[in-house]
Amino acid sequence: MAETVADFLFGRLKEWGVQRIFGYPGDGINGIVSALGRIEDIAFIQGRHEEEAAFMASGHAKLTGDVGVCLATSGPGAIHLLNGLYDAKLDRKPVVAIVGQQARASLGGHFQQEIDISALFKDVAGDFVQVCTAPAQARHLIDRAFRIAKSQRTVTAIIFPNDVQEADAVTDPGHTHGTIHTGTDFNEPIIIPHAEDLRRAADILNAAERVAILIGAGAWSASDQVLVATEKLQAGFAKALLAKAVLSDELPYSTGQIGLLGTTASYKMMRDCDALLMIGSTFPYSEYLPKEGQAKAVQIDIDPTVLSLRYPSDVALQGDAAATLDRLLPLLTAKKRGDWRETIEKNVCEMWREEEGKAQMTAEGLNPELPFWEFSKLCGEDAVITVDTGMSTTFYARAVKAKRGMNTAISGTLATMGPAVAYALAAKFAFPDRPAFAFVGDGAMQMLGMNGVITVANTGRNGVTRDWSSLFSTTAI
Amino acid sequence: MVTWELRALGGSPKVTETQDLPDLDYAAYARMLGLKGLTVSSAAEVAPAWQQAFSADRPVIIDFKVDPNVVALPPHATFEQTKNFFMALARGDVDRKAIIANFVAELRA
Repeated sequence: MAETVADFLFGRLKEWGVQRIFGYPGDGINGIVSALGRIEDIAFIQGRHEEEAAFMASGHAKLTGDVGVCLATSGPGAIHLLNGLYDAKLDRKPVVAIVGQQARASLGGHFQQEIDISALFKDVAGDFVQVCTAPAQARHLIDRAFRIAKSQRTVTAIIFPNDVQEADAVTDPGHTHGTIHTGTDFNEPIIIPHAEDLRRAADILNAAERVAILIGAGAWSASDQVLVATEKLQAGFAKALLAKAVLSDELPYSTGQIGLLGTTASYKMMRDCDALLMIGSTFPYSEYLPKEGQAKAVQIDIDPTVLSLRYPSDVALQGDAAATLDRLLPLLTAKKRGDWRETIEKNVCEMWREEEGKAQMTAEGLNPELPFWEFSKLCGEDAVITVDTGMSTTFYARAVKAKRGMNTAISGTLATMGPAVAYALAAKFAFPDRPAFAFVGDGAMQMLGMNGVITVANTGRNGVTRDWSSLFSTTAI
Repeated sequence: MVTWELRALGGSPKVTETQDLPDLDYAAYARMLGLKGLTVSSAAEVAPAWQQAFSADRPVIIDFKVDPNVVALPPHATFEQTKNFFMALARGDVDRKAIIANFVAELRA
């Protein structure tokens, strides 16, 4: 049998390093599903619902930094993916969605399960959404979907009409006017600001007396550098929710989370600082940042479109967090320990005392914060923690002390209910030897979490991937 | 969460028919699927339940039956949020007695 477009698709996914895809079958993707049965090396993880599959793909991207791939059928399957795709897009993570469509000849015929997927996906996958109308397009559509998802850290989509999936693959597009010739080599660049801009940033931080640092998920690879910056500047650091595990809360100058779910220590540090160093964060609540004009600000972000978004930066630096800090740190003058740092540390001590008091407080029934407090004492640095949206987010934010090495996934920007069990599943596939914990309130549990637990159970039972010998703990509260 | 947002941001008491959730036995559900299921309803059971989960040979659901009326306000609640919160209670929130009791306990903590 000749190689079909669907066979070609999986060959190309392998070249892009894909090891597993998350999805749900349907007759709009018959050709792709039957090709899945013929290949090795790429695992198919079946969710209970396409939304769960998209959350798994998003969770995979959040936890590993690699592209998450999800697969759904035409019409209703494509529609179900949307919430999970938006979750990845808003938290700036790469996901490629592969969806089916009715046969080319039926399109525009008000046919069953026919919707205008390109139009529907034009917002969530606005950077790249294309229909594969001819087998010769498959190569460049796949290559561009991956290249754009990775380089823009966003969601892209490829739509395959079902007759195209089963058509013979075209591996050689010819060599004439209009033929497209793409490749798969991709390398992350290192982006650094100009030296004079780094100098201006250093001048601001050196002149300041009360520096506050705010880190977001963009600081993941820069934890060592953030520590050195905090020491040199005699500052404290607060963490946006997605950055909880970037640095340990056992450090006396970690003020923990910031914002509605945050701590009083973070609140006070931002209220009283005279300079703000923001690294890799689009933390949305400006009322928890300094008042405009109160502090000089330096911001570092890989994405230039989010610079000076929440607070007007005096120096807005586009760059990789680690590489930029590597070049900024030698320009910083080490400050002497003084009142500012001592106040921060005193507030941090007080905050943990208060938090313990709140967790230990007796309530009618069980205090909801206590399970988080006790978990925090017992869990190890290898834990992968996923948290749903709701009260569980608040208690996780305040009562769980992050340890360095932990990995976490949360719906930060979309703040959707429902993803935590799916994230935990993605964690177990990506890191089989690490324990995964999902904190889910009863609302999110009933919305989607319970269905995810069926996937957990099925994953162990049918041996598709592994047995349960490595711990898988799903926690409903 | 939605109920607390309604109270602190909207100044409205809980609207029971929109916010109460059906009670379910999640531990029994876990066992039905061949997983381990634990139910915890007192402080003394919390740490032992975690220890059981940490050493389990299969996935675990721990169902913590918690008090929904423990107050959760922002770290530095604004005047507006605090006012809304108490207005919501004053407007006849069905859970107000328990919330006020817990709030007093939190102030003492």
